[in-house]
Amino acid sequence: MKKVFFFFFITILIFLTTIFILSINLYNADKKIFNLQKEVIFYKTLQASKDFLFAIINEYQQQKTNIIKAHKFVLSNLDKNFSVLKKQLGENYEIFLTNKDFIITKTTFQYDKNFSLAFAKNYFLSHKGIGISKPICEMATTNFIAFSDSYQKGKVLQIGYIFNSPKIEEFKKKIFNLKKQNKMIKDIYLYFLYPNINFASKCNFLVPLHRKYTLKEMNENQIFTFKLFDELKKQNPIFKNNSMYILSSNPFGDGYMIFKIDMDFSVYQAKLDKIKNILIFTILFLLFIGIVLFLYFKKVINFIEEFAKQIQNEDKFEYKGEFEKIVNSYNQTIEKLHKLIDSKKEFLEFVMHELKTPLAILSLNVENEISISAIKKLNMAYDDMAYFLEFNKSNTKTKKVNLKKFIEDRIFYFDDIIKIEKKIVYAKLDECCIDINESDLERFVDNNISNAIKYSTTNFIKITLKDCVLRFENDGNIENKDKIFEKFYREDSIKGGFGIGLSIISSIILNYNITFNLITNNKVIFEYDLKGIVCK
Amino acid sequence: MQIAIIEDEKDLNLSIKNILEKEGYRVDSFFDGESVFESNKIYDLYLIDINIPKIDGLKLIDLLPNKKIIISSNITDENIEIAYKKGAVDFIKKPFFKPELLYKIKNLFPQYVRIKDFEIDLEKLILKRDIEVPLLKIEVDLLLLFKNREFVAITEIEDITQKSGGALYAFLSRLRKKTGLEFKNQKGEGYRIG
Repeated sequence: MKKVFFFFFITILIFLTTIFILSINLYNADKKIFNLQKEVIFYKTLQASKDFLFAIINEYQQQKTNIIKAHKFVLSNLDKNFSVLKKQLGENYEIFLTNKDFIITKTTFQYDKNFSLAFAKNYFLSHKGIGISKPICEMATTNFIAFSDSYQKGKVLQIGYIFNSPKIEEFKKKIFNLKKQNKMIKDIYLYFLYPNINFASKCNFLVPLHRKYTLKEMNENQIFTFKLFDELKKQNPIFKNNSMYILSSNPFGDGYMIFKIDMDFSVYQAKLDKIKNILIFTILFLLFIGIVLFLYFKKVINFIEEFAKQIQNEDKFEYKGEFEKIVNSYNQTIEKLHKLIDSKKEFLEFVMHELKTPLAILSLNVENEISISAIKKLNMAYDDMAYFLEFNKSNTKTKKVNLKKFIEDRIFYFDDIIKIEKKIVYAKLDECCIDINESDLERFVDNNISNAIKYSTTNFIKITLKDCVLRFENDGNIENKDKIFEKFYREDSIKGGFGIGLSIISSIILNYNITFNLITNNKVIFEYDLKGIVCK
Repeated sequence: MQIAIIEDEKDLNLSIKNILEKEGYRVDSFFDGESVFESNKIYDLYLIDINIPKIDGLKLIDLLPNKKIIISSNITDENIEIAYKKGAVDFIKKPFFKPELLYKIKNLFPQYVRIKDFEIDLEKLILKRDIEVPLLKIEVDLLLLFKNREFVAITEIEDITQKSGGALYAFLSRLRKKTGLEFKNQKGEGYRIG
């Protein structure tokens, strides 16, 4: 039963482990797919951004002369209201004018008012006449703006051209859509670097900042960008933490551009967590099923074991539950059998009772030896039978018995039989006191003497008692020694079969834990070690 | 010596009575537990079966005087223990044989010696035959010589009585008068009692 139990347990364990490994694989596969997806999104976004930038460059090329024209127009109308000028130039234009300290004092672009352009002083002084910059990312509005500039009388005039034609906006919208579709995209940044003039700027062209970067921030961005640049020169692109970077040439001309996407993994993590939860739930569910099965199986096994015990006891089984049908039919069968056995036993007991008195009368009235011997044999059979019938109510009360005297008495009792059978009994008995029930002892001794008389091939029978080892010895041989041995140690031998005498002996020695040995060597010796029950 | 058998199986009862009477005991049979009291006699020994009508054998042990032997086939440990506790002196398991019965009874009454058809009570120095006759110690010693023997040599009698010739003759004739026992001298064998 334990084997089955173990096998069942192992099977469940293997099953669960397999499920677990499969789930882990699924989880990992999903992670891989995600990584791939991440890169696809990255390059898609990069491409869209480049398309957007090229659209700007395209327009820049077209508008360059218009911007210079507009600059000249403003230069000649510096004292006029800039918003009026702006109306004349178009919505795309913004006008900036600084004082001598390079601080913007007059502008159409309110964000830049009081903003210092001192950081670009060198640039302004590096050329004469009207210069024009490449489109620059403007953080406050996310617009790309190209600035024309001129430095006259200590003041700088800048005209900004905003690239927001429908065509450009369409490209920008594409990026927005990409971002919308892929919730993983958190932010997109562009970094422009110009190593030759040691300048870098950070640009988020999707989400407006609604203010200017402070100088401090600009400084920090610059340091950060150059650091990034050094890293990207070694390895390009880089995927680290929740961001992806790629270094490329600046589509606007000199220098470089770094494209960066910040990813939001929470969406992805939520998805993975969902899988994980399903996994855990599945395992718990399987575990639950496993436990339920295990308990049920245990219940079945317990029932079977309990039932087997009852079957062995040949007893009714008090049981209520799932297996009642089996138990009921078993109980009915056992009841029938019990009734049958009881009726047979009743009959036997009746016969035994009827035999008692005639046997007693006969025993008292016979005179000649042959009759006495015959009646003693009859009595012996009667006693065996009575003992056999009473066995289940077996007397358990023991008392101290002088075994030597007891055996002498029994030999004396057998005297008539011994004479008629022409046997000679040699008895060499030492003193030995044992603790035993007297009727058990009588059946035990009588049957051994009777067997020795029955199976001796010569007239020789020897009974010895030494150190509380009792031996009954006669000439002859036993062919099926093993069979007798087996009989002796089979617990149910009392229930019949081989001969009631041996059965009774075997049940008694089992009952008292008497060590038995059968020696056959042209002699048959039944040897009983009674040391286990000597008087204390 | 008087023995009462209380056993409801008539054949068995009479068989036991028969055997005991042959041995010279005076025996009365009773077939239930009550009738033994109706006899108004006290017996030296009662043989009692356990399963008898009216009064149970084990109860009878309490009610009857003197020595009691239980004869029964109902030999559970419990019954044996109860019987001994109540004062039964022995227990004979049915079926039993003549020697066993006689041996046990004789063992119980070592003071009663049977010689021929009379009995001597060694304790009370009484000869029991049809009547009870008180004896002298010297007379008991003489009679004991005849136990289990047919003839006793004259020299043995002279030794034990310290008498011979006329004195011995007078001693024997006095004993004969007292007990009714005849002492006959058979030539070459010795004295015979009859």
